[in-house]
Amino acid sequence: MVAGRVNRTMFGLRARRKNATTSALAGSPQALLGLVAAGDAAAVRQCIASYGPVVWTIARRFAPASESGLGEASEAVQEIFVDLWKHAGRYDPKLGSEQAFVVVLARRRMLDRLQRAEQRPAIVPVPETLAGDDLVVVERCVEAEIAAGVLAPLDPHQRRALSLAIGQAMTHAQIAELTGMPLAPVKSLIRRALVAVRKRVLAQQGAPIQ
Amino acid sequence: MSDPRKRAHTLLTDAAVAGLPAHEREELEQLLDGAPADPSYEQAAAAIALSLMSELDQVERMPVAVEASILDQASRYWGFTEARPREPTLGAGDLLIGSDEHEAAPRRRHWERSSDRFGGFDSIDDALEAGVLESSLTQGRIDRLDVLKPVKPVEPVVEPVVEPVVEPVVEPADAPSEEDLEETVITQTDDPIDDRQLEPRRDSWASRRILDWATYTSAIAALLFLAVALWLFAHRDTPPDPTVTRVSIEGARDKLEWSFRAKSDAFVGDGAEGSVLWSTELQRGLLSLRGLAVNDPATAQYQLWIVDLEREGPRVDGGVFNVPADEDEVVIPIDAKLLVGEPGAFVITVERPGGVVVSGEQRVVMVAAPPAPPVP
Repeated sequence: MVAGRVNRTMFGLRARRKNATTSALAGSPQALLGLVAAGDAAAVRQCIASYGPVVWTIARRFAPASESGLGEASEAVQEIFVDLWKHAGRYDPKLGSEQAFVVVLARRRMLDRLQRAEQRPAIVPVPETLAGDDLVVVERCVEAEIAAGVLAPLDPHQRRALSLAIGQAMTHAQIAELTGMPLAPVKSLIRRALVAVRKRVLAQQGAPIQ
Repeated sequence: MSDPRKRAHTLLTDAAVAGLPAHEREELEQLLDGAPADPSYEQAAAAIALSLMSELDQVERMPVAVEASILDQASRYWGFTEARPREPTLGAGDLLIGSDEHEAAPRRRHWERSSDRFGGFDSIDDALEAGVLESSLTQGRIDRLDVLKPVKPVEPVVEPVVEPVVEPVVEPADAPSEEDLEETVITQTDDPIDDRQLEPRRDSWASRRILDWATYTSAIAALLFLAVALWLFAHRDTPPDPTVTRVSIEGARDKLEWSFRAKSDAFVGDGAEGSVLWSTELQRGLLSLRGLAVNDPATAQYQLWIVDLEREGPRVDGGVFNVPADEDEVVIPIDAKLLVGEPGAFVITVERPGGVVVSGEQRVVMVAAPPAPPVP
């Protein structure tokens, strides 16, 4: 795909395809989901363009490693966007950023799919770093900034463990095996990281911590 | 934190990270006792996921085909039926009535969900009074209901009586000219009315004959049409003869012939090559391929995709084919499932038996694209 090529969209508007260095969420107004909830065609299109890469990445990470994984990821992305169309009206800016709202929906759907499966599918860990023209850079929302601050002291091993757990829903045992870390520290690390980020996020929102 | 609350906290944490096994989900439900799960755990997990993704540059662009399917799905969900630019919706003063230039608002959900169901009016009556209403018949476009506006009583206009300066020459509109009169005379004299035509019995018999004849003719035409349709239906899957296809394309004005570039895949042998011959005018094409692995149709099949530069959305399915054993070169007629406007590339993938509707392009084995322009 030629970066920067102007493509016609189904809504008859023209959208400039982002290149690898462009933010997937650049220019997305925070009021986007409100417009989506009202059925604004351009907002729906913008929503897909803005949040599609993040949703797709989550779906890919949670999809099984089998040959059907890509198809399952495509199917899951469709489900996630239908969820988004249904629930966009519930988004409350006081309770967080739109980006976090979308990611919560996407992860929830993917975890549901994993739980619905009779047998938890085998997920192949993604490489620690990816390279290629098909990557986009995501601007950090406020919650991601908070998380980045909490995770800053972690070493690469610990980050990797966290990425496998939260990014790919791998079990503690799988992570321990993959990273060579003992099981107990893996559990502890992941839980403590999430609790710490939750506390900071709630504090930022001015909500009481329970 | 009490023990049950501590346990619920742990389970909510684990659930937000990677989900819970069935027994722990049940345990959590019991602990929550009908209360909704605190979403802040999921928010924290989302925050960490986003932080790690952005830090490691691991966000992947959504494949074009997937994006197209999402757009298509969204259009069906929201009822967008036609490509239209975004414009002001209800109540906009500069709307062109009934014009296709308007944005197609969601056919059903927009007014169901939106608080200003009647475009900022409290009731349908108010909207009607103001003259605008979203019409379901026009798929969300705005129709100005001038016909429903109360019609103001027309005040009689009293115009001053002006005496005509010149008396107008008034001729009766239907007054025949002299020539007309002559023709009338000729007609009346040369073609007298045949008294036989006035016989009611003979007249109805002739009409019946004409009616019968028309019925038989229509029936024969319908049978012929049905026969052609049945023939076409019976031959719908018959692949066109490659030789005939090649000859027709060679004679086409818009013939193109591109070489395939082999990709790295287990199905691609050493020195794999091929070409595609295509005519948009004829909507026919031919693949000539060498070096692709023999496939077991029960396990996987090759599928051709046509990148149409004039078409949004997924690539056009060019048909599924096999590479049989003992054939050095396979010649495959292209079976494009949709009209191709301007081919930009031809892509061969390996798919599951029977092919797929939209390919994830996980296994691309060959690509044919226009040759690069010569360097000046």
